[in-house]
Amino acid sequence: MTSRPSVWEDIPKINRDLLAPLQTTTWWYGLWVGVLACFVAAGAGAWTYQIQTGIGQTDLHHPIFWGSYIGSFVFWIGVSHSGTFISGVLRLTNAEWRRPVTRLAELMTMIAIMVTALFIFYHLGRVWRFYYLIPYPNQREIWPNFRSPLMWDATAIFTYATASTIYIYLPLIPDFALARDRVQGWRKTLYRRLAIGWHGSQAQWHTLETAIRIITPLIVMVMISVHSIVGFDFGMALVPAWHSTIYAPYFVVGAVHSGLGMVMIGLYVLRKVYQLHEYIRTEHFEKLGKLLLVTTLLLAYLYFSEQLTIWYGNIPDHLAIQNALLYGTYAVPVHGGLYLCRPPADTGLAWFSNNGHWGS
Amino acid sequence: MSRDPQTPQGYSKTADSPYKWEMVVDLDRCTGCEACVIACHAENNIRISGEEEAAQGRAINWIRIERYWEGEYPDVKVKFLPVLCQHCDEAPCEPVCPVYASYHTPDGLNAQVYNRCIGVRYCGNNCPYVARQFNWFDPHWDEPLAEQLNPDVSVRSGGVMEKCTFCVQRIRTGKENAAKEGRRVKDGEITPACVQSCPTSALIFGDRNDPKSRVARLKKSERGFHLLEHLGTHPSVTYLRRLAE
Amino acid sequence: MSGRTIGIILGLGAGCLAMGIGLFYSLSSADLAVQDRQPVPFSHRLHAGTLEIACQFCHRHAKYSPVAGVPSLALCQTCHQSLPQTTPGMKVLQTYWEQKRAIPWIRLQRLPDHVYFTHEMHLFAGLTCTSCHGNVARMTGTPRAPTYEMGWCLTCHEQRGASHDCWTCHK
Repeated sequence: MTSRPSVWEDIPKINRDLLAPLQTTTWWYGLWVGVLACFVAAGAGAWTYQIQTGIGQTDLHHPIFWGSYIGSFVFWIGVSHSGTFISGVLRLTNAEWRRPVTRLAELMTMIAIMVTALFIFYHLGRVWRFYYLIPYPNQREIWPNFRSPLMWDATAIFTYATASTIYIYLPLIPDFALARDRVQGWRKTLYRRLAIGWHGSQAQWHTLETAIRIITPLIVMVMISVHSIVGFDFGMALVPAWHSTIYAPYFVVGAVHSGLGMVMIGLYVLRKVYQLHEYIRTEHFEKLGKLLLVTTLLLAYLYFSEQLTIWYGNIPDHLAIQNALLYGTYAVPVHGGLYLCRPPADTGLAWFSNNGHWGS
Repeated sequence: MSRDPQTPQGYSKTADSPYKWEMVVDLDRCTGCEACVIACHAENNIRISGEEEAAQGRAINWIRIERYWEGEYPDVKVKFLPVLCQHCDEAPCEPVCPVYASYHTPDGLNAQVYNRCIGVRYCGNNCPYVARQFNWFDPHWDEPLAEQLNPDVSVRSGGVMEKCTFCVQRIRTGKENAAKEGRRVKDGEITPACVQSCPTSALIFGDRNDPKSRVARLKKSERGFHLLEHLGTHPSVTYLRRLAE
Repeated sequence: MSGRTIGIILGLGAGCLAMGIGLFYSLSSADLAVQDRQPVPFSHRLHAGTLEIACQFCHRHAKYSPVAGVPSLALCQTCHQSLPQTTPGMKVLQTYWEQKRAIPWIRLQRLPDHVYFTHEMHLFAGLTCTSCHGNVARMTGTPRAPTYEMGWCLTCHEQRGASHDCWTCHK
């Protein structure tokens, strides 16, 4: 790891650089917000249409009743693992280089988990009855069924959302204090509330660091369990080729993998847009690239062993699915999209970042 | 460990009910006429799907006749297999429902409570018999067809899973009539629509707990088997093999 | 007025509004009484109370069928044809009779399509009409029924050891 000279004298400059986007807003920022708002409006319109006309608009049909919504759900919960993995695991292993990338990764966690929650609602056939899923004492005297993997899932995601909110908030307290001292107007009130009286004393730092030290291992455990449980949604089902123990580790590795990729892309954009070359350096892409290489190889292994166990087990129902995937109806997307493109693309991304191509 | 599927004693979840409704399907008698399918549609307010939806695999049938061709033309044989919800004692659809819309009644029926269902569709994925059907859209009947709906069966809205109930509305009426007279339901007193309409009496319905009922006797037949027995779902529908080929 | 005061007032106002709506809903009086004005000013208090006519004399299907039934005009007339038309209500009744029109009663008690309910079995189990419908013998204008929410049914089923199985009441 390249160690930089002491940065004490740089602190005013760092604060100035990093808080600059809070002070100034450019026209293209407004434009971008506008464009994204249009996307949100289009999505809301589409969802309204689906609720009004029926869930059949998803073009799903039996016998498999789950489709793109559950796929997207799994993807977004996977992306949300980047933050916890990068900042949690790397914090536990004392990898100091993580510092500039943790905040972005944690923020991605938060946002991704909010998007995840949305997909649960999109998926429901009668979303206006979603409150049947919430355990609260009601006059109907019925509780949700905690034997259902979907309830484990809902519980896990709620826990994860709560925990990761605390996890992003705690290290943010000193930064809220920094922002509080630099802005005016309603934002000052907001940041004052959020900073909950932080003034940077030794005792406060000590308390905060203890809190972070306690929550870090907890959130890593939550992270692993959450994605295992998302895997259970499939693994617990009787559906051929789903009913497998491989799903929990598969999903955890896949989640970390896609999360890493998302963080790298996010970092790249952030670095370019806000001119943060001094803070987000080639070194970070190298390190993340190495991690990505590890998860790529792990995932490739899991792809392989998933098919191997089915092939070797030779159970007719499972084999029928495998044949459809590898040689039949779905052969082109599976081979083209998953096996041929994904590992090379990911390895390429890892190699690319590792060789400093993003350095300039 | 192997459990004898013919006698799942100690397995029954029906301890607090005197009844255990079961069906026997005699494949030797089934001619594949589909009268049961039509009767079921009429009795249970099953939505009319139309050509387009049927082509998409979205047509709803609570009971279907599967056809199996054997041999090459002209020496060809066809076998029919009526498939409906098997009302499994160990139903895979039940534990996965997050809101208890799919559950087991004391009578040993596998129930779907439409007004509780929120449409997560896990039960549909998990049914190995593909007996569960989903309402992708709100149902529609052209006038005056809406007037012929059975008032004893709710009309399922869009976003709800549905399936065979063994005509629970008829079971309910039968049990009420028996209760008023202070007796047990007699064998043959309750007939689901499919059983009632089967011209060859290939379908037999009754109470397994009554040792003298036709179902209880036929269940013990040497010809008896269950669909996908190896999954351990313990279906309530027993099939009787064809006799002669 | 400071921002804080305004905030408190707004918050309290919103809270009171929510409580009010909740209260109306729980008392099931969110519906306007106007809807419930019957075409004929019939009084249960007079018929069931003062005159002590049995419920099932008029609602005669209750014991034999799922629905209790609303009496036909002919049934009303068995008594009313021999009575003098002393009140405006009786005159209205007479008009319907002379015009051979059925009285368009406004239905006050209705269960959703997903509920299976039978009066027959509830009477068989020994319930009386007043158990669910209240003491109508003391009601002049019959009000809208209780909301008949599931918990309300379950309370009684629990107390009397009746079935809790979903399929007992849901179809």
